[in-house]
Amino acid sequence: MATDPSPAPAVRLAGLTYDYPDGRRALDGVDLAIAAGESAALVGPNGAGKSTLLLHLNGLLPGRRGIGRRPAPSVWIDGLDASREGAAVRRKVGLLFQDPDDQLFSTTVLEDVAFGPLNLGMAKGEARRLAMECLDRVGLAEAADRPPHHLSFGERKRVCLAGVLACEPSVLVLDEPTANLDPRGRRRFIELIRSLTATKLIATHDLEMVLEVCPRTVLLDAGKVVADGPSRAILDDAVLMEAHGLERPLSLLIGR
Amino acid sequence: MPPDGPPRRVDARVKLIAAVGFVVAVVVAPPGSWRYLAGLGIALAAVVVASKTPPIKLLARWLAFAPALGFLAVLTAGRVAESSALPWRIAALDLVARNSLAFVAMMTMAHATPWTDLLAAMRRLGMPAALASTLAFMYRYLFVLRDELGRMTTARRARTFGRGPGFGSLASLIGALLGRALDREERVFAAMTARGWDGTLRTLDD
Amino acid sequence: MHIPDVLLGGGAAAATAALGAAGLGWALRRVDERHGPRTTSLMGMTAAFVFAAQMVNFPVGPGVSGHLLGGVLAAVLLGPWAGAVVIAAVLIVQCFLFQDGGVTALGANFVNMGLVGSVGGYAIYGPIRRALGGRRGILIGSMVAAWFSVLLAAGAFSIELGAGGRREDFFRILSWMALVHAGIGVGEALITGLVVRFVLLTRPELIEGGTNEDELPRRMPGWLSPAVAGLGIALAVAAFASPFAAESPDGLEYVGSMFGFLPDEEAPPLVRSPMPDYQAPVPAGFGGIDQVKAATAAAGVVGTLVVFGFAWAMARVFSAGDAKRGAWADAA
Repeated sequence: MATDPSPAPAVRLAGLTYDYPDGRRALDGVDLAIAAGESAALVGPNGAGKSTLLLHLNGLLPGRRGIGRRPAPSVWIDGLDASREGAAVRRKVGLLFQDPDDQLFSTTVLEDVAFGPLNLGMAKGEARRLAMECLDRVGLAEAADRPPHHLSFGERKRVCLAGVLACEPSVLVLDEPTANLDPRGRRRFIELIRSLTATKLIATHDLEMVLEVCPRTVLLDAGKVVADGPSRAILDDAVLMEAHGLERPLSLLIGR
Repeated sequence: MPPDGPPRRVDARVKLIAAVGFVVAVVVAPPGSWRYLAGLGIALAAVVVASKTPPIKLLARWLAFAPALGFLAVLTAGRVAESSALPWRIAALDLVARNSLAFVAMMTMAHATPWTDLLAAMRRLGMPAALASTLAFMYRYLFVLRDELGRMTTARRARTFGRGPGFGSLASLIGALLGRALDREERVFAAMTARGWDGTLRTLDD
Repeated sequence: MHIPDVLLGGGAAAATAALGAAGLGWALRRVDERHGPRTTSLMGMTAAFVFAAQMVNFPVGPGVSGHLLGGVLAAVLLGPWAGAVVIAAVLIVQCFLFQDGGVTALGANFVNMGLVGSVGGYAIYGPIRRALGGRRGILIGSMVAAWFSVLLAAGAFSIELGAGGRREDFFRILSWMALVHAGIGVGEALITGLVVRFVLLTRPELIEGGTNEDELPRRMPGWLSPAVAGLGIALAVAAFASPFAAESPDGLEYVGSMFGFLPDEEAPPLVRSPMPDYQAPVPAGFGGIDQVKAATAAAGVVGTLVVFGFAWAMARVFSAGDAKRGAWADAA
């Protein structure tokens, strides 16, 4: 039972196809619509194309270094064509990367969180205020003046989330938000994600989190959507899960 | 004097200009102007003390470059000897002495100025924006690559059992580092673009 | 080898600073037209990579090790102008952070390693690559370019250090520089070749135009490549032949006046006063000039043969059919 998309879904993919630079197919005709305010999980084995799909939501992939094969428009955010209106789309979509070190680069935490607002043209005073507010939301206001590489992994991850929130996106795209976090850090991060009202698309292997956060699950394998529906129904389908290199989450196994 | 050393608090632009000015003053000094050099040396020593640069560190760094310096000084002393009527050996000594003054001045400046401040100072003094942001990126990536290189050599050592690595395997190491470096750059660039980066570096201060 | 402060004469320092600044400005302008906002990020990462790669020491002999310089590698990856900017960034960090290379010699070091090394090296790499085609062309071109770029840099280095001095001094400097750099150059060619080969075998898309030569834009003005390549080969020959040319003053005068560093024959002999210890300007341990001459020439010939030999041998991994475009997919 796919959620019925509203006339202008927050995210719409139609026949999205993409090849890696070495010619392998990464995405093979992906169709997907996510309604405003919805929380959807994107699951699938390693190499299924999850991260590649996420990058497309920001208009980041087509036309990059070298390879000139520009595909037909296939990604829309709030009705905007991501391949044409990249800058406008990037204002709407907040992308949290898996490795915080890919995202953090400023000399201080506050400077890093203010990076997005400054790039979006906000005045310095306003950007500083917003950055502090977002740091406060992730519980790291006191770390504002510290260099990011002195923080723990979990803290760095939350700084990254603050940096994304400071861009005030209407669609949040999270790549493995709970990977490599210790149990307490993971719990904290899950609560944070749950508290956010934006439309969410979360690529993850953390199926327990999916059950907590996302009513809907999209299963991706070999660049294709193989299942799309209510999380409990999909994650509890042992045959489907094992066919695509996944396992039923423990809570469903023992919860029966 | 205050415990952190006054030169640390001076504007980086002033320090940069002062250090480069000092080096130029040393370079243009005619060979054999020992009194002039001694005066510059005393002034420099005062700054070294005020900046609390450890002399051992200065000496160690100087020694690291000494062989190359000696080689070049011997090679070029002929030119100096000719233009200054100094004996050849004295000319070589003059080159070494003047170079050491310049070296210590630059090292003291580097010691008293965090690189990010120095970079901001260069930018404000008119360094082209593209070069300044290349340097900013380079600094940001340096630590990432250093850690990457460390992990790769450790993993390699775990499998070579104490034998020294060969030429080819070292080259593969560098090749693999290049692959990782450019992959990392791709992800970092994507992360920055996702937050509105358009090629212009904007910061909260300045 | 980086030139430290003071060793350069004031005039040479000023001239190379102006030349270096002009060259860097030109390179920055040429670079701006490519990659868009990605450019500085790519150059910054490549600079960090070159810096990190220079920390990997290669065993050369007992107690002796060398490392990659990276000028040609940077140019092969990003093109000549971006390669030069990368080298400029590396030199600036080395100068200001590690005092490796003098601040008043920054211009000279950039001329030697950025303009001569990267841009000049690319001018040698480009025609060879185009002539041989495919991955063989990339590999052999980059190795030969690495070898010559180091020798050319050594030549430029000698001109800068010897500028304003006497002819004998210049040739002593040139001989020693060519001798030392013949060793460095063979190492640079080997390391560059091994790294380029590794990248071609594993990630060809990382090399500029590495998967599709049609994407390779022509960035050099048409006249520049042959001109620089010709000048380069002439300089390399001059570097190794010069010790012998010294016996035939006419040819020497010609080369000298071409670069303008030899005192005019008519100049007042204000520096001719024979100094007591000028008869033996080189300490005994430094070797007689004749031995240096012979060693230099031998090193040049052997080095050139070694580099070309290794280049051909290493290129044998790649089939000759590579030269045809479109063979990439089969090989990958």
